[in-house]
Amino acid sequence: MMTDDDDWLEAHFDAARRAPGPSEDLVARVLAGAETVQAAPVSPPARAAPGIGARIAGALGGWLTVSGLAAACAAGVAIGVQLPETLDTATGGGVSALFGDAPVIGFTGIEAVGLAGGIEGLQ
Amino acid sequence: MATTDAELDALSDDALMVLFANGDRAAARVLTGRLLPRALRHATRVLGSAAEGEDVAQEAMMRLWRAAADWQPDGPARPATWLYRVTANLAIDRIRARSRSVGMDEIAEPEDDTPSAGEAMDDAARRAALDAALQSLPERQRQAVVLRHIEGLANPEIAAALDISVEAVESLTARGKRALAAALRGQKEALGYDD
Repeated sequence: MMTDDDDWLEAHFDAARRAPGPSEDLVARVLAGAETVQAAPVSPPARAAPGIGARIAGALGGWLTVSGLAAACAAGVAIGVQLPETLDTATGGGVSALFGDAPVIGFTGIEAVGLAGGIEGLQ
Repeated sequence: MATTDAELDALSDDALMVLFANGDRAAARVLTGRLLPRALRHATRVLGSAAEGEDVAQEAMMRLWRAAADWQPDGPARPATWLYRVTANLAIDRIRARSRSVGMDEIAEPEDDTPSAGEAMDDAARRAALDAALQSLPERQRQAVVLRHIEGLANPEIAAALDISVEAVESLTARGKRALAAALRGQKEALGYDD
C-alpha cells in the first residue's frame, strides 16, 4: 500500500526519470568514439602456442604421418597376438617345429611371417 | 546495403551490437539513442554531478563499442545490463578516487536547485534534493536504489549489474529507500519547503 511518504519519495524518483537526456555534444562525442572503434583494423585473435601433442606430431611429419604410424602399430599388435595354431597353419607347422610349445605371442605378425619365410627357405 | 535507423529500431540491442561490429554506423546511432540516456541518468544520480555523469557515460559507451567485436548475441549478458554494470563500476571508481584525493568535508555538494522556504519544488529542485540525499547513502545502496527506483530494473537485473545476489539487492534497496526517505525528510525540515 502506498503511503504519503511513498508518494512523496516517488515524486522525487519521477523527477529524476524526467531528467534532461544527453546533450547533443555528448551524443556527438559518443558517436565519434563509435566511429574510431569501427575504423580501427580488427586484429586477428592471438594463436595459442601448440601443445605437446601437436609438437610431437609436427616433429614426426604431421598428423597424417602419425595416424598412419598408429594404424600400422595397431595392425602389428593385432597380427602378433594371433594364436600359435593360426601361425602354424599359415606356416605349415614351421613355428611349432622351431619352438615346440614355447609361446610366440611376443612376435609380431611381420616377424612371424618373416621367420616362416626363412624356415621355408631352409627346407 | 546501408540500413536506416527506422529499420534498425525493430532490432534487439544484441542484433545491433553484431551490426555495429560489422561496421554499421546506423547501429551505433540507434544503440546510442537507447543506451546513452540510461548510462547518463545512472551515473549522474550516483555521482551527484552532471559533468562527472557525462564523463562516466561516455567512457561506458566507449567500452561498449570496444566489446562489440567479441559480443556473443546469445550469451548471458544483455547490452543494457552490461552497460549498467560498467557504469556502476566506473562510478564507484570515481567515488573512491574522490575520497582518496580530498577529505570528506571538501567534497563538492551536488549541483543544487533546492527551493527556498515556502516554495513548492519543481523537477529540478526535486532532482537536486534527491542527489543530495543519495550522496549520504553508502555507494552500493545508492547504486541499488538508483537502478531499482529510477531505472526501473528488476532485482535479478540489478544483481547482474552489481555482481551481487538477488537477496543482497533486496536488502540494499529496502535499507537504501528507508535511508533516502530519512535524508530527504531531514532536508525538507531544514529548508522548510512545501512538498
